[in-house]
Amino acid sequence: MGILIIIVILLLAYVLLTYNSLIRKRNKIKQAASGIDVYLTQRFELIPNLVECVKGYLKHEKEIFEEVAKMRENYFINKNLKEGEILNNKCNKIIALSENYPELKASEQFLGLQKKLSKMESQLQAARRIYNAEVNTYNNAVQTFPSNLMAKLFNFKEEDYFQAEEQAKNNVTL
Amino acid sequence: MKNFNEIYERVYRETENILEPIRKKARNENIYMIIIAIFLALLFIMTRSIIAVIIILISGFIYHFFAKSGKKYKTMFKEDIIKKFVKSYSENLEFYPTRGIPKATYNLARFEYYDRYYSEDLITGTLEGGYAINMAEVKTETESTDSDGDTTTYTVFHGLFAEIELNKNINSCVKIRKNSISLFNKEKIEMDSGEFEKKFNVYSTDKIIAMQLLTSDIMQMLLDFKKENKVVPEITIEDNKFYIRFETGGVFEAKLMKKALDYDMLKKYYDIINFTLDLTEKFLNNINETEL
Repeated sequence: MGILIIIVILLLAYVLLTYNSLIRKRNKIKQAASGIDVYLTQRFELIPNLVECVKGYLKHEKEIFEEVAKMRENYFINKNLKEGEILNNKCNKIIALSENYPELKASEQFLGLQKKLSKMESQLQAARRIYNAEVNTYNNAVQTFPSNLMAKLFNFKEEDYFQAEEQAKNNVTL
Repeated sequence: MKNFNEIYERVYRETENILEPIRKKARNENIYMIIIAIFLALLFIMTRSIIAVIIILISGFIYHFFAKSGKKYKTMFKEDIIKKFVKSYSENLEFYPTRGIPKATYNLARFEYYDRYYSEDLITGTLEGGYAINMAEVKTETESTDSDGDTTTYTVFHGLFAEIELNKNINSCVKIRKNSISLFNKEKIEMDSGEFEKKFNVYSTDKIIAMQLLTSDIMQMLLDFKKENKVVPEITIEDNKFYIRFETGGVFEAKLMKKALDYDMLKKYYDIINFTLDLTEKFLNNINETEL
């Protein structure tokens, strides 16, 4: 009887520890996602300045400015990271288009903005890698034995990575 | 900076004829001494006489005062070969066999706790990129005393340690260490490369900076070095200082049984110095590109 009680206690302890560990790992993903959001938000706060700086040169790109303004507004309301990534790529596109104008490239205001945006892009890249590393750790726990049993029991689902292909599809190098 | 074969040939031309005869003489002295020691030991075991003891003492005395080729060779090896090797690598570098890196500098890299510290064979100078480098052999030891009061000394680290001053300040600290179990260190960062995670642990209070510094090409460079040299480089980057160490054991030491200009040994030193400089340059590029 005593042995049975010890086994039950050990089992409960295992369930508790594994459950808490899965929760911690999932929270780390959320934390990493909010890290991405911080850098996206910082980057998007510079969009009005960027548009103001380049719109005189990119007269034929009116549509993209309108689209970016709308997407930016939506992002600040919904905080949807996938939409945020699309908007981020559009920002990169604006910068790439701007580079076709030598006068603009020589402008101090534009160079300053480009430098800030580059820095944020690098931080964003780092935040995406942190996110993927956290997803990897969590997914390993969800998929491997014996923690996968607890994951199934408590309905922990695998999380998606930030796909490099998706980013690359619309990515324009700064 | 020249390639290794150029450096080797230059040092070979300048030193081979001078050092090889001394090495051979020293090696022969050692071999004769070993034979005499075995003979005397047998003589003592068989006779147990006072005459055997006197012969042993006289032989030891003769060896100590007259067989100086070994010491001479070891000094000349550092003065001639290593000094020339370092100078051939870069005109801006100097080698000082009797000087080392101060304990206080090593402590700034926060590698380990120890009781005793030794350092020698300093390479110092300024590199092409304009940054100052100090590199030296370092040995650290700990002591433990048991209940009987007997003290045992353990080597904690023995190898090459380098300090490089960067021209940028990262305002943070990133540590890269060989993989070990690290359950409770809250500064440990999960990297996005499974292979890298298996071999290294990364610690930092700023995850973003650590990720920005440790790009995939730098992680691959560290992995490749580990694979090729069977040595795990350990790094600390703090503010504008870059520290790196390699657990190679004793370095820049002459070996009597090997040729004075042992190709593999010098190649190993060359690879380590080159790797340190390449890695520093890569980190600096990252720091500059990401405007850290």
